[in-house]
Amino acid sequence: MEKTCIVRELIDLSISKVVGDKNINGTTKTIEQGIKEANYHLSRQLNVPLGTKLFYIKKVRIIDGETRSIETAHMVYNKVKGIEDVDFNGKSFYAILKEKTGIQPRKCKEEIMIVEPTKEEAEMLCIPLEEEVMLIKGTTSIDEIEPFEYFEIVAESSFYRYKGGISAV
Amino acid sequence: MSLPIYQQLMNTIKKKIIDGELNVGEKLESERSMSVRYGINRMTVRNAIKKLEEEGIVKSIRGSGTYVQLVPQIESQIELGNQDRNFSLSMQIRDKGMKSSRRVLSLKKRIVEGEFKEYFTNDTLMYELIRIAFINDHPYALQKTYIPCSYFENAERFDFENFSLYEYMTDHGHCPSYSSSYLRIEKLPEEYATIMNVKKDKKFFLYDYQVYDTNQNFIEYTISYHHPQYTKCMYERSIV
Repeated sequence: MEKTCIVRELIDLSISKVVGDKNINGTTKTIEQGIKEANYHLSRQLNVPLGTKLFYIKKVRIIDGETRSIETAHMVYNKVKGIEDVDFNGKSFYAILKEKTGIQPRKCKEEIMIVEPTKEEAEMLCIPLEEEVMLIKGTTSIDEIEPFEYFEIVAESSFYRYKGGISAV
Repeated sequence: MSLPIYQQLMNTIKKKIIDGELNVGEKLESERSMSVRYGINRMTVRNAIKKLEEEGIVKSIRGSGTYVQLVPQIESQIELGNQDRNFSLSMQIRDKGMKSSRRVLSLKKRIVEGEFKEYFTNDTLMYELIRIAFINDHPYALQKTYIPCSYFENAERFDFENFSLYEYMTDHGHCPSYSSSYLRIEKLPEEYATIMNVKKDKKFFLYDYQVYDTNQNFIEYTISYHHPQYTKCMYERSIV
């Protein structure tokens, strides 16, 4: 049987919402969450000084009982204070974010790449090390000026599909 | 943000080599000459040459000059996603300043059956055109294109290697106007691994799309495999 895939349209941000709307048998499980200091890479992505306190969350998305993607998000802690104690298991991160802080990212810019998984990613996704995966990385923003969140999603390569359209100008 | 000047000069020299303006073994013009030509400091030219030498692209011989040693790899990438407004892949390649060429692997009429019935609802016959798009003579994309025979005729007589599919369509009164696409990642079919110069089971960006003309008629279905090395996939979304 063909595995479930998630079609990402250009008006969706929350994957959990798509899973819910399409009645897909899926959930999320938090692997770790907490506060850490921005390293060089994260400070560049979020446009903040090195060492800025960030909230981070790493979770897996489980569909039909199988782990299909590993998702990591980082954002400036000061903007989301208090969220570090929330239990995000099985819930939409963006829905809780809005409820707890009033923040709702409006824009998202992401790049899709084909990469080899790390040993840890291969183990979590139950795939061979040589099986290439989809890496989606990007930022969300609230006001189009400052990035609010930097995220990376490592997924089994068939898991996400992107729907788009262009018109001649 | 613009690149440092020495990197811009490096890219200019690389492009000249890729485009064949400078061949392997050929001597580069002198540092002084480049400094005057581009209006930049001679040390900047020297820095660019030094970096190119470190990359193995040129070799300086004391008392003689600097010579092209090898053709650089392609560095630009074609952007897929929802930001491009260009239907034509060849045009996207040329817009990046790279050479675009195509090879037709096959062109034949096929009966509309199986999954194709979903797209070709009013047709019994379609043309299947299989082509490879090259960037600077490197295989870049394998494209399987299907167009309805009810709108298009005598495709066998058209030169799809040197002229664009969209010119052909427009000539037949069906100017492409809107395209709806899906992007996913899949293995390149095994039979094309050799011709695309990749190992078996290599994963490619699979971009499949349906094209409609100005009267909303369905005029094309294409399955296009894009080499990840030369592809940048970007999506932007606005949440309403």
